[in-house]
Amino acid sequence: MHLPPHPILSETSIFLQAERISVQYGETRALKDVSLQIPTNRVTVLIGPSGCGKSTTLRCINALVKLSSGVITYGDESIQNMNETELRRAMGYAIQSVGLMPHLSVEENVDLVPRLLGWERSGRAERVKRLLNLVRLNPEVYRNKYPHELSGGEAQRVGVARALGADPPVLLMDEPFGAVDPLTREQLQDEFIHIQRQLKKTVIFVTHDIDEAIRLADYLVIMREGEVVQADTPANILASPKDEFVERFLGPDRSLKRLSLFTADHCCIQKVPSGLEEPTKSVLPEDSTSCYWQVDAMGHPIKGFMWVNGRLVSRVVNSASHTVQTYSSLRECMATILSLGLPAAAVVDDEGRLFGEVRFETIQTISIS
Amino acid sequence: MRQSKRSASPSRHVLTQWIPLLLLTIGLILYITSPTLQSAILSLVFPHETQFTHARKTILQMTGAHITLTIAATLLSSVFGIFIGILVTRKAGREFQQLVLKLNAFIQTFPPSAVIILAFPVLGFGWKPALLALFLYSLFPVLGNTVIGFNSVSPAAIDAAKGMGMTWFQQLHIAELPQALPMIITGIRHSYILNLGTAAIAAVIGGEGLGTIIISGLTLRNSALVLSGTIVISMLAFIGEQLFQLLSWKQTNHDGSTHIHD
Repeated sequence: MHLPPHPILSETSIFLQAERISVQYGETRALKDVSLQIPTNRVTVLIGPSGCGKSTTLRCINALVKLSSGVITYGDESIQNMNETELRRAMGYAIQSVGLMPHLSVEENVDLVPRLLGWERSGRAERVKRLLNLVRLNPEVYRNKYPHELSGGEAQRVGVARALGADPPVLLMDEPFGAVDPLTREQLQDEFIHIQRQLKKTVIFVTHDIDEAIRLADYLVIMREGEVVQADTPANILASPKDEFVERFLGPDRSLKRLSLFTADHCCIQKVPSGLEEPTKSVLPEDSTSCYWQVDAMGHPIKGFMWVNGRLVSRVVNSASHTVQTYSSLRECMATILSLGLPAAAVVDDEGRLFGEVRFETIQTISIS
Repeated sequence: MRQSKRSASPSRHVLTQWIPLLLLTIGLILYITSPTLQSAILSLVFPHETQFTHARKTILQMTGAHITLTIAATLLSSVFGIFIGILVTRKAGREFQQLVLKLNAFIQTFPPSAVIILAFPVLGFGWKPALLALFLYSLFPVLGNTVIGFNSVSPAAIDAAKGMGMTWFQQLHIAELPQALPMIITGIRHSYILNLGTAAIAAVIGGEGLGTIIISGLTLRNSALVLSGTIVISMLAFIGEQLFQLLSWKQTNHDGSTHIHD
């Protein structure tokens, strides 16, 4: 199977490439001739129902699972020819069950790979401190704790810090946020996005949660029964799922999910009628299709007006729940439009001043494009 | 908060553990070195007896022989037990695990006296058959506990250890051994207590431990002699138990520094 080049792959180099890899466990074929390209400095998410081979694929990459056939090339070299130990030390590894050493403190756990690599002891304590800060754990509080004293979310953070321990160029993550409650999970995802923006690692991430996949992925690989069904950017997959399986997997609200990929500044209309007073017919004629936003002295929108069927409809804008930021997703804009009851949502800047509006019809155009 | 709690408790713990241990050890040393003290204590319990010491050997000699035999057998079974235990919990040796454990349990069902008597024609009279019997008999707790200890290491920790690129040996001594160690120490402790008791039987074939005085007490119908040997053995058991407890307390309470072997 030859993969056509994807936009995401053409804009960055290929970090790692799997060519027709198969894995056989006794009678069952866990992977069937999978070919895959992993883009450098991007988040690649492998997703699919259980038993689809996503974890097996990940474990092939750091040689925890032996290939029955095919090759994985890393740079110019096949990983089969590389020293397993060195290969794994060059790849951060974070798993769902975390697997912290129960007899080692948080600091010693995070420090494990640098210790295995024989790094100079002097810099390591400082490095542990930086890593704990990065995953938002206060080093002073957590350094000397033991894994049994941590909550699920804290343990997962330590797991991520440990995977980043020796500053590997690539991170392999097997459902790293799988074992925590939804609220903590969302928080960990936010932090992951934040960390990834700073570090720009090549990440290979396995999950079965489609919302998590769409949030985190630059490149999404959908697998089923040991085969790759579709591999593309999340936007492309949501716009045109390849077959019924992918469509079902994405769920009935895939157009809504697609909206979460775009932000308000993407389609925000900046020149909108606004003023300190309620609108007169001269500023908002009866045949106008746009909204009028009444603002206070600070420029914060307080009321929205619009002509609907010959009647001037007005809605009081509550700044907390009825406005969106420029970086809000179109999905949030949609929710705001519905809760405000006007066919547009006011976009505000960081100080809460009126910046523009996002219209329902624009969102509609995007969702079907 | 936890820090202060942790640093306060060890010192108190150590104090309450060490003081009785120290007192007992002093008492034991006084008892085994002074025949006068032995007679004084035993005559309190058995006022009608006239003989309170063994005809040929002192309690000190017998205690020395008893401790030597017990420690030698415990060391031997620890070395072999841990070694075999590690082998059968590795990937390559796992298929032999059940076989080894069954064989081990089978040996355990032999009464130690039977082992001693069966070994007698081959190894003769003296400490050799005694050591063999003790070793075989006390292998079970160490081997069994080593296997349980390694089997109970969390699979996630092993997966993580492999995934971060530990070699076979690093995986064993950084990830697995420290987690299995409390269980192994418990096994060694059982083995020590077992040996302490069984070593008394070795006197039948010429082992020179405290069994000598107990057996001569039994044949002479002199309960004072039996008690004298028993007092020493039970004190040795108690002291040993305390020492092991201190050792495993250090292991299980994450005294971080004890685990770093760079």
